[in-house]
Amino acid sequence: MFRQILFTQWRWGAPLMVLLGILAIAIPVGALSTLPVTPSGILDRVAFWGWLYPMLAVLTGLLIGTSTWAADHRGNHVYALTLPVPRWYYALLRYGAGVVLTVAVGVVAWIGALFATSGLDLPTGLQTFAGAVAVRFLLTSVLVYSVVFAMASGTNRTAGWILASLGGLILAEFLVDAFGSEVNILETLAILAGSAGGPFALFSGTWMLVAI
Amino acid sequence: MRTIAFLVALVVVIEPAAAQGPDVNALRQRTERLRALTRAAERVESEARRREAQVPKDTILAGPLRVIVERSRAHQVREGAEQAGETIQSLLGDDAYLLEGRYLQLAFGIGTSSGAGQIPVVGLPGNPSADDVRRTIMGWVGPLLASRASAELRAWTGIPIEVDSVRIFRAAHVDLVTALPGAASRCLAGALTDCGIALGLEAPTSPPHAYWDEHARREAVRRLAPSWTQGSLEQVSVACLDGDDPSCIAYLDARFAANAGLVRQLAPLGTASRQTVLLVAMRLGGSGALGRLVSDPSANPRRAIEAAAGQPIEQVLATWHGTVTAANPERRTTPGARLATLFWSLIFGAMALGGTRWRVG
Repeated sequence: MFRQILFTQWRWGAPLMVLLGILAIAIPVGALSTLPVTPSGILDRVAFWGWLYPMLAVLTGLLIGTSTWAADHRGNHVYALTLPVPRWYYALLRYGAGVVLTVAVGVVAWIGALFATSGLDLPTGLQTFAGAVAVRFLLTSVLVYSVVFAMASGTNRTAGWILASLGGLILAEFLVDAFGSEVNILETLAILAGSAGGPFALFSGTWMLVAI
Repeated sequence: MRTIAFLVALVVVIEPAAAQGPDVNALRQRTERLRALTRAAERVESEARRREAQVPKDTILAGPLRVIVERSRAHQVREGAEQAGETIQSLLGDDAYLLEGRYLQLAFGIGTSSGAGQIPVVGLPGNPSADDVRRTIMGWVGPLLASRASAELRAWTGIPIEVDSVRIFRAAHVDLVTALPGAASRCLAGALTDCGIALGLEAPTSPPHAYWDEHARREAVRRLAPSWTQGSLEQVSVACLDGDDPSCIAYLDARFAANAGLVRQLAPLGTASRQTVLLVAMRLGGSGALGRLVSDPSANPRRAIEAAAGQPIEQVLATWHGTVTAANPERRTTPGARLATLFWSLIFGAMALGGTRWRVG
C-alpha cells in the first residue's frame, strides 16, 4: 500500500520534483564556478550563494507538503474513506511518502554539492562541507514539509484556529505596544524558534559549502 | 497626473525655503536650547553622583587593585574580583605594584565614566556572573597597562590587550586563513619565518614581494587605491588593476616610501593575530609576563614579546602557530541542532496523525 501511495504521489509531483532537483544541483555549481583568487573572496561568494539553500529547503517542503494532500482534498477523501485503514495510518503513509520524496531532493542536493566540490583547488585552510550542507538542507526541508503537511492535514476549523491564534498574537503585540510596554511578543517568539533547540535553529547562520 | 502635480507643489514649497539658507536667529535659538539641555543634564548627573556617593560602599581587593562596589551587592562581585585578582597577579608578577593604590568603582547597569581626578566608574550588567565581573575588571586593566607599553608596541597591536582568549584565537584563525595569499598562506602552511613577516614582526627588504603573491598584490592595490591615488600613481594603480604586476609593485613601494609606518601596519595579519601572539607570549612567560611586556618603553614588538615570553621569537611563533591553527571556528550545525530539527519534524508529523476528522469542502 505504501508503494502505491508513494508511486501516485511521485506521479502527481514529478515535474515539481525535477524542477527542485535541477535547482538543488544549480546552487552548488553556480556557487563554485570560476572562484575568486583570495580566500576571503571565495568565502564571500559561497556565503552569497548559500542563502539560496534555505530558500530551496522552504520551497521543497512547501511544494511537497501541499501536493501530498492536494488530490485527497479535491476528492473529499473518498478514496481514503474506502480503504479499510484508520485515518492515522493513512496519514502516516502519506507523510512517509512525502518524506521519501523530500529525502530524494536532499540526496540530489548532496550529489550536486559533491559534484561541485570535487576537484576544487582551494587555498590552504579552506575545506569543503558538501555533506554537512546536504544534511542541513535535508533536515530543514523535512521540517518545513512536516509543518506544511500538519497544517494541510487539519480540518478547516483547525486552520481557522491557527489563523485566529496568529491574529491574537498580533493583537496582543499591538495592545502591549499601545500600553507602552517594551515587551515584543512576536520578536521573542521568532528568536526562540530560531535559537538553539528551537524548530528553526538550523535555518539561522550562513550555509557554507566551503568554509574554514 | 495627480502625483506629478503633488511633486511640482512640493518643489515650489521647498525650493524657496532651501534658497534662504540657515536662519541665524533660528540657529541661535537652537544653540540656546542645547545649552539649556546640557545644563539640565549636568544637574541630573551631579544629583545622580551625589546619591551614588551616599550609598554605602565596600572595597574588595582584586589583586593589587581596589574595587569599590555597593555594599548591598558586594557578594555579587566578590568571586569575579578575586578571579581578576589572580589573573592580574599571574600576568604582572612582581610588577603588580603598577596597579597598587589604584581604585576602580563598579556600578550596576550604568555606563563607563572616567573624569579627571575622579575614581573611574565602570558599568556592570544588572545581574553579573563572576565571569562578567572578571572580564569587566580585566577590560579596564588591559588598556591601562597597554598604555605603559612602548609606542611601537601599541601601534603594532592596534587596540588594547584582549582577554577573551577563545574568541580571539578563533578570530586569529579566520584572519590567518583569509589573509591575502603570500606570507600569510606560507605561514599557515608552517613557515615560521613567514609568520614573523606576515605579523609585521620582521621588516622585509621589499614588503610588496614579501607580503603578497602576484594576484594578492593586485587585490592589495584594489583595496588601497581608493584612499591614496596622487598624480601619476593613479595611472600606475590603473595599470596594476589591469594586470600589470610591476605597476602593482611600483604603487606599493611608493606607498611604503611615503609612510614607513605602513610597512608594519599593512602586514597581512591584523589585530586579532597580533593580540594572540601577545597572549601566547604571556602564557609562555608565566608570572610577570605582562609586566615585562610593557616594562621597556623603547622596545620594538619583537623584543617586547621575547621579553614577555622569556624565549626567542621563533619559539613563541611556533607555539602561536600551533594554537591558532587548532582554534577552529565554531560550527552552528552541531549534532544537537540536527537532532533538535529532527525532533521538531517528528512533532509536527505526529500532529498530522492525531486528528480524527477529514477536511471536507
